[in-house]
Amino acid sequence: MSIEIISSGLQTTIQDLGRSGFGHMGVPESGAADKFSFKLANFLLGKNVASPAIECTLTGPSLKFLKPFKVAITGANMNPRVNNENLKINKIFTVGTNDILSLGNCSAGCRSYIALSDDLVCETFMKSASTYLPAKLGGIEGAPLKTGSIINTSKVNWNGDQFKKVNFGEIKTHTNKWELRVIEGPEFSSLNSKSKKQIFSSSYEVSNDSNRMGNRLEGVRLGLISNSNIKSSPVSTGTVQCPTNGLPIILGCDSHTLGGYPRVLQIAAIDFPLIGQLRPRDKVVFKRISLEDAIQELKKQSSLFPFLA
Amino acid sequence: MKNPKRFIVSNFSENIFLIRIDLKKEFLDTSLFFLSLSEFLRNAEIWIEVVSAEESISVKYNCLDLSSSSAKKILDEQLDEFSYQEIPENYPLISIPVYYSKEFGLDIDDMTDRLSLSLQEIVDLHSSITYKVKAVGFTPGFAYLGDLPDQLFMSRLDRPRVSLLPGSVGISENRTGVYPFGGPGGWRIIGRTPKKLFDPKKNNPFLITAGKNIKFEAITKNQYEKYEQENL
Repeated sequence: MSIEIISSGLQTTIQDLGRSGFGHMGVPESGAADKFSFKLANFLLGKNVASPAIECTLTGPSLKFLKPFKVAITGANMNPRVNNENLKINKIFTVGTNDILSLGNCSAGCRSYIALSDDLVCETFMKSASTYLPAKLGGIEGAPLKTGSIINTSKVNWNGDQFKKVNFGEIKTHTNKWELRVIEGPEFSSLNSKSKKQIFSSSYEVSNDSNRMGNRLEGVRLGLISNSNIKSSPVSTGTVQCPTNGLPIILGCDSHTLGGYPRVLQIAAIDFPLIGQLRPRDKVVFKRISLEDAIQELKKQSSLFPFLA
Repeated sequence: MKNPKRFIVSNFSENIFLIRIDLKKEFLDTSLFFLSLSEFLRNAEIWIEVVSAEESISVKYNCLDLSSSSAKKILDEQLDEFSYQEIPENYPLISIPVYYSKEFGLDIDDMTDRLSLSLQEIVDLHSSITYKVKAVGFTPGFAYLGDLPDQLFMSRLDRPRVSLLPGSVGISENRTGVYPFGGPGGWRIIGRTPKKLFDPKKNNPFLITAGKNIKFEAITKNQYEKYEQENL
């Protein structure tokens, strides 16, 4: 008995880095929707960056600690408070027995991460604790945390007493207007010639029908050349599909593994964490970069933030 | 099928290759070939993820550890080495009970109209075939089964549905499949099965895997409800 959920928040789940290597069985990668912020939270605490942590969505939970912990909160700023004192995100703080941590709403970004000095006790499926809601896998009973429930923790040898140096200035600030870097997808040529330009010149709006599996977009309807549906083909996090109705869908971390709608764009891996921060009604524009630049950006990021590797 | 030497490898993303073959004219159905190739590729540890589809395979690697050209070289060598072997079919037939109905079959009305078939004719056609697994994926427990009779050929929906009921049985072009749990889907829904296709509590959570044969069996609403109660 270590943490009591006083209020659950909108969709609060336990996540880690996800399940790799089971895509051929239809098992998605999953894990934290914003793996950058997730790893940062663990890193600040001096933990293994893959340790399970709590992912909060749009409105965060209130947690009562039944024993002392060190805590770090990253990602979207949900104005965290301990008892009634405001806290800064991206910092380590200490909570004592019976302290209550409350997260509220965020005005930019979508997901916040709470990491603790101890390990969360949770279920694993295929080597990961990541909660995958559609199939009820991982986390606690494969479900969002429930008000009134208890999370158990197990002690780890904590060696994170020294604050870890992070290039905070290089962290992308959250916004309501995102520019996502993309390369052309395998079926980019299925767009008609007008839409090949429109997809880069239009601003799309994230629809309410969005979740960890995918963000549906609203805006200019793209035109496809006829017979553009394909035999179901591999898709992944960051694939932008264009169904026949012309409204693109950005696949998220719980993306299915195969899909039959044309894959018109692929978001650069460096911007995957931003997909996890898209909130309904945010604006999105796509910016084309070369494959070489996409790899270079990824390398640059991992040298700026060594904890990502 | 002979071993094709005409693999087309392209970059799907920074760290994913896409493998296709230029065989369309000679072989209409390449799904079993790709299932076999993907099993072979999975032997090499450098691939983080090898996902097989009916006409292509994606292969993921760590692009921070391995340059694209070195990864491509390893892949080319593997493709050279590969010789196609059919996946043995020595499994018992899996029977999937389906309550075909307008109640669960969201697209039955549209299909009876557009295909000029009655509900009973759709049921008879769909349950008349012993299906083969053409690909595995989409979500845990989903498999692409084929071939569907030509008379049932319909394209997928223009806009995928946001949420389906678990066990929904769908069709798309010459494929059919079962959505194991709720979630989004773009296939035309003709009924629902009470049978679990994915059960994480079992030693082998996946009912349908490559090489198995599948048949659908029409059941009544009563049988559906009874099955559901007995298998809670």
